[in-house]
Order: sequence, then C-alpha cells, then structure tokens
Amino acid sequence: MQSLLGVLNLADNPVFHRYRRSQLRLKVSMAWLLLTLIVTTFVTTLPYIIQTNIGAPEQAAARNLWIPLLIIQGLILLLKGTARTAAGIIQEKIDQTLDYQRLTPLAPLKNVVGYLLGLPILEYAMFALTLPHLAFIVIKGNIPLLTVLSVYTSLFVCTIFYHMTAVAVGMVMKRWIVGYMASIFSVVLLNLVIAPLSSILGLKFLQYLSVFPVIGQKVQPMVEGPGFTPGPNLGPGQNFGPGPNFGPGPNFGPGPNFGAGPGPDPGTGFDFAEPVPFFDMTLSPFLFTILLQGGLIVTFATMAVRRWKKADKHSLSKPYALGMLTAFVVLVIGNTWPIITGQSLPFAIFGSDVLADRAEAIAIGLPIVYSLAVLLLCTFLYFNTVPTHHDYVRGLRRAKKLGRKAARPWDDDSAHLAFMSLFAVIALAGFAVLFFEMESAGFLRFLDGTGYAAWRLPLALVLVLVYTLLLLQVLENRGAVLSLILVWLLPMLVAIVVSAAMERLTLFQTVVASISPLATLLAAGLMPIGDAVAQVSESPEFATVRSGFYTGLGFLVAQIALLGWRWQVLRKRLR
Amino acid sequence: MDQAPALEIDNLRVDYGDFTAVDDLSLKLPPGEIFGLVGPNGAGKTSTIRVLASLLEPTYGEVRILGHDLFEEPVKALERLGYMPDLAPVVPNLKVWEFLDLYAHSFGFRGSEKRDRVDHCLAKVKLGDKRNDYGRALSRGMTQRVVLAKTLLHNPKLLLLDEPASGMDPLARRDLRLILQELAADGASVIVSSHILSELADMCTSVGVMHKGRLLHSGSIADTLATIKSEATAVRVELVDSVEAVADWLRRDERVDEIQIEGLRVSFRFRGEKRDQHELLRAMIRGDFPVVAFSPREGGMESVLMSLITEERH
Repeated sequence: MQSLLGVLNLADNPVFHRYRRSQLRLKVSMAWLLLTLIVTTFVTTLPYIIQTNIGAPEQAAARNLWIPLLIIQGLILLLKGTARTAAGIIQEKIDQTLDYQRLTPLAPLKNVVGYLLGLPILEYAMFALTLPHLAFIVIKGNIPLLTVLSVYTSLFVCTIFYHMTAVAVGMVMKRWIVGYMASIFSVVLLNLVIAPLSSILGLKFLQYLSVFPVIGQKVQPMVEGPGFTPGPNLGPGQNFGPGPNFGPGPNFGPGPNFGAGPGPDPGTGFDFAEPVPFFDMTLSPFLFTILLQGGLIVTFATMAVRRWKKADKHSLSKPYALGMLTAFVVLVIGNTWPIITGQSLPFAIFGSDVLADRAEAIAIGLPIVYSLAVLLLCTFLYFNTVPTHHDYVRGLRRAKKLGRKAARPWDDDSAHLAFMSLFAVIALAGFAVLFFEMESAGFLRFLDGTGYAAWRLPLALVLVLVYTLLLLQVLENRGAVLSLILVWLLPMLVAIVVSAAMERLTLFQTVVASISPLATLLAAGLMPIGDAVAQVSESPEFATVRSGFYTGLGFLVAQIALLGWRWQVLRKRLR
Repeated sequence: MDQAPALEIDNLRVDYGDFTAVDDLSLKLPPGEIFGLVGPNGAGKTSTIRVLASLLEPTYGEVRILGHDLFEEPVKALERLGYMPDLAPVVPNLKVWEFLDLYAHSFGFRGSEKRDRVDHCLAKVKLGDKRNDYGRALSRGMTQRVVLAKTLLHNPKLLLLDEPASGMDPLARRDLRLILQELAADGASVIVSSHILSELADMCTSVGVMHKGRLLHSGSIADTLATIKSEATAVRVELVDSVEAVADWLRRDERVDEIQIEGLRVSFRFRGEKRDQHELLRAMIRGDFPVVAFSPREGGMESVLMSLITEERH
C-alpha cells in the first residue's frame, strides 16, 4: 500500500515535475489557457443570459449548460490530451531521452505515472480553468454533489484510460505525427462509431469504453428545457422483460412483451440509463464503466511497464494475452447472456424490433458477431505475441546455450504452435457455452428443424485463427498485413463489385469471395439461413452459399497446408 | 563485493536476424581502468555498450556489473552505471539545470543535496554559466558536456561512453580526458568507444579492438603498440615515375600487402624489422626504381587497428 502511494505521489515524481516545468511556462501555455477561458465563458454565459431573458427558470438555464461544458471538457481531456500524450511519448523515444530515464532506479510504474499525468499537464490546467463554470452550473442548477462527483469520476477514469492507451501505443509507434493523428482518430472512432455500432451488434459492453453511458445515466435526467428533454426512445425500456413467448421452442411469433414501446432507440441501440446486463446480474452503467475501463487501464499499464523494462519485448506476454482473451469471451457471453438464454432482450439488437426477425437475426447474427469479435481480438493478440524471425532465432540460440531444445512455450521468443493453439481452445469454449445456451433457449431449433449443423462456424473460426497465426509466423508483421489486404479483403471486394454489376449472386462471385478466409467465416455463419430456406424450397442462393462455404473451406485448408509447410522449411533454415 | 571487477562479460552474443553484431565477447575490467573500445563502423561497439546499459537484449551471454548480474539483478547492477549515448540529446524545452534536476531527482537526490549535486556536475564540465540556458540553445559540444554532467550525477562506478568526443572541440576533449582520469583515480572504470583511435590513445589505459563483432585484441595501450610494432609498419614511398612498376615489384614480396597508389606515391604495409626495411629500400634502389623518399610510419594507433583487422582477414 505504501509503495502504491509512493508511485502515485506526484510531488515526488521527477517526470511529472519535468512536464510541469516545460509545459506550464506562461509563454508556452498562455495562448491555450486564454483560449479555454474565453471559449468556455462564451459557451456558458451566452446561453444562460438568453434563456433567463426569455423567462426560463435559472435552475433549468444553468443545468442546460452542463452538456456544452462537458463537450468542451471532453475535447480538452479526451481528444487533445490523448493526442498530446501519444505524440509526447513517441517524441521522447525518438530523442532517446526515454533511454536516459529507463536507466534511472525510478520504479517503472512511477515513470509511467509521471508520463501519464505529466505529458497532458497543460490539458489538465485547461480543464481546471473550466471548473469555475462548473461550480456556477452546480450551484445555480442545484445539482446534487454526488451526481457531479460520479460524472467527473467517470470522466477522469475515461481520461486515464485513453491516456494510458496513448502511452502504451506511443511505446510501440515510431513517428509522433502518426501517433498524434492515430490517437485523435481512435478517440473519435471509439466514441462515435464503435460504441453505437457495438450495441447494435450485441457487444453492448463496448459502449462503456466511452463516457456517454454515464452522461446518459447521470446528466441527461438533470438537464431540463426544450432542447434536452429526454425523448421517448431514450427513456428506460421496461417492456423487454421475459415473456412466455420467448422460451425454448418454435413459438417465436410476435408476443405482447416484444412489441414496440418505450425503450432503447432501435436505430442506435443507445440506452444509457438502463442497467447493464451481465449474466443474471444487472450492474449500474457507472459501476460497469469503472470496472471495464479500470481493467483496460491495468492492461495498458502492464503493456507500458513491460515495454519500459525492455524496449524490444512484446507489449504483452503470452499468458496475459490468453487471460485477456478469456476475459473478453466472458464479457461477450456475460453481456449477451439474457438474450442467448432467452430471458429478456435488454437492448435493441441488429436494429430490429420485430420478434420473428429478431429471433432469427439473433440465432444467425450473434455467433457471427462473436466469431468476428474473437477473430479481431486474437489477431491483435497474435500481432503482439508472435515472435519475429529474429526473436525466434534468438530464442533458439539462447535455449541451446542453456541446454534446452527450444524457448519455453510461454516465452516471448517462442513460436510454440500447441501453446498458441490455446487461443483457439478458449474461442471454442466460448462458442460451446454460446451454442449450448442458444440451443436450450430454442433459437437453433427455430432455424433448422433438421438439426443445426453447429460445427461449421466453430470449425471455420478455428481454421481462420490457425491460418492467421501461421501467416504471422511465416510472413511476419508487414507481410501479414499485406496478406490481410490482398487475400482477406480484395477477393471480397471483387465479388461485391461483380455482383453489383451483374445484379445477382452467382457461383463465380462466391468462389472468388471464398478465397478470403473472412468470407468463409461469414459463409459458415450464414449457412443456417440456407438450411432453413432449403426446407421450404430449393433456392439457388442456398446452393451458392453452401458452395461458397465448402470452396472457402478448401482454400483455407490449402492455405494452412502451404503456410504450415513454409513454416517447417523456415524453421529448419532458421535453426 | 568491493573487490569485484567493475565489469565481467562472458560469451556475449548479439544477433540482428542473420547478422551477428557481437560474437562471443568476453572481457574483464578491473576498477580504475579506462578501456577504449575501438573498431571501424559496424564492428559491434555500440551494440556491446547498449547491452551493457541494458537497452538491448543479447542473444545470450552473461554480464556482471560490480558483481551484480545485469539480467538477474538489473536494479542493483544499473545503480552505479552511467551511460552516455552516441549523439546524446538533451531535452530542448528544459533549462540545463532543470534537465539535470530531473535525473538527479530520479537517482534519489532530494533538496539541497540535489541542488549541490547538479551544481557540482555542471562545474565539473565547465558549464556553470549555462545553467539557465535552454537545451535547444546549446551547441553540439555543449550538449555533449551537459549529457556528461548528467551521466556523472549519481557518481557512477562504471561509465559507458559511446563516441563521447564526437562534436567536442579540442579543449572540451582535453577536459573530458581530465574528467575521466579523475574518475579513474577515484576507482571508477570507464569504457569509451570510438572509431578514431587517436581520440583514445591519450585517454585510455587499455584498449580492445573489435571487428565484425569479435574482440580481436585487448590489453594495455603500451603492450598493444609493442605487439603490433614488431609485426607491421605502414610505409610510404615517393617516386619520380614508374609507380605501377614499383607496385608490381612490391606485390611479389610476401612481407608486403595493402598496396595503394596515390599519384606518385605508393603506400603499403610491411612486416619486418628495421633491418628488413633497410634491405627493401636497398633492393628498390638496386632495381633502378626512381625513389625520392622512403617513409616508415611506425606505432600509430591507426596502424594497430589496420594490422589487427588485416590479420583477421587473412
């Protein structure tokens, strides 16, 4: 505990003082501080005067200022602060002054904390200048202090999370301008694209990576006035509770509990005020946000400390990566649990609110979304844990010197295929839980009366994971990225363009698309539609999708065999 | 523990893919030694120093600094180690004293002790009057001196200086030499790398010659020069004409190699004693070659390096 306090003691942190000195010099910071003061004063004073002049109550007028103020504060801390943190750490690395700091006996975590809170210190100063405006809003608006505290705790945790990500990413990137732009892009993408999209796709927990849920839960109810009154679609959705028609069996017709009503906006899936479903529990958005972002802060801090200790090590150890994948799988399943067990539909999913469509969409869509999300995370983890040829050879030589045949499976330098296959095992375990519960809830029987061929999608996912792993081992990072573009995306794009030109789906496009492992994965996921349709009629689309899947499977196995052979040749040569 | 060597390296190897930058390097450095690590560009000097500074992970090998294993007890090993990289930078938007304060604080100095340490090190590199200047306003040589001051802050017992004299004027180089000698007299050991041997000759007590990742030779400066002197001498012959004919004639002599022609001069390396040189000159004159001057250049550090590298090639 004492050492943790020591790490967090900024008064005794030389790195923090270094930035306090360099960035808060009046002639450096004056322009930004003045700009903040002027803009914030303008944005808060003018609407307040206008509103009170037209007769709005002072309390309402003051409360209405909170969201504009939060936008300014968010721009300062989340956007500008993140960009500066990423760019600053990259610049330190380029200047080699990071190496000086590495050689001091200052604890790695203390260094990381120093950079984390020191690099964006100007942004914290700018934020501090907005606090008098906040005080005015809180006092005039009569806003409970606890509400203010929970909103700003969440904003602060989110800020630390984004800045920690910037530190971890900055430790890897090589050009500060790329880091600067990439971090701005990531913040915008996360808040405005991933958060809403993830909710629609059923990965609702991803929206808690932004500060919006807590604002929705705490700020929106506070805000009064015509511009900020919650609309019917933003209110709590209470009619999505369990209903008799959602149990197992073929009764997925529209029922009274699944009709339209007040609840989440089906267009965006945002439902900020609702408790977060997690297995059989419901957590408050505030608590869930803190837990999720806190977990990720720990992960990124681990990455940064690891890179700090050894600049040429992987950002993540293999065991940590496996733990991260397990946590992700548990989160995905825990978050969609009420849906897959057929208990309730706690948030809009796939933009559909017609029961029959939704049931089919869930049965088809959830496993596909799960597969794509797991594949995306595994690819990220592979990029962070698969050794380069240089590392692999170094591991072999080191092992030989120590009298071993090869590096230990969990070492950074190891390319142990069996150990790396644990990623696929965890993905499969998640699949097993997902399918078992969906089967129990009756989703699968609804789709395929002849018995659901559950092996297709898991098989395709495992093969694609093995393929991705081999791709990285044989071609290393750059080659693998090129291959992802040429083999994963290009065939799909060609097939889409040809289909648009021909205005129909033929075997040709299917075969071209199936070169892409991604298309094979999608085809495997879409097969149940084909099965269902096949019961009614001999549809040509069914035959096309089926052909696409089996052709893709063939391509995938062939590519795995080729890469496997290349890897064996390469291993012999490298040894 | 005080009696432990300042540095022990056993079988150190560093690979970059297929390229071996350092190949089975072993070295022991007693306290108070100023060791010059010399070799042409790409010899593996910087890789060796970066491994010793724990900034590069070796393929294998053991490194002990003041008796502490660098990979098992990195904090203890690095506690008394000072590292100054090649083209060492300073932080441009910090004043000189702020830059040093950052590292003094990081090394555990507090309050007046920290201020005194900063002032002491600034005085040592003769930059006391620049303490309020910004890093961006310093010349190359001044920057090197500020970084040297930073390296000295925690009173290290082993200093690693990678090409420290690059960018320094002759006066600053003399100061650097004096500082290093003073540190060595206090019991600290220093490793200085350079590809310019003459830079090290008057600074070091011992020298190691690296080439293609291997340590070809190590020993005291005097021993090294003595070893090489008897083996090879650089000779320059000036002629009136017939330069090609002289070069052809020299090529037939087994004691001669590395023949180079520059205008009316022929330079070569000659393995032999003074008497052998005399015999060679007599033979040239008997052969009716128009010799104007015959100049053997013995004992230079450059010839030491050339000699060892050539030997390695053969």
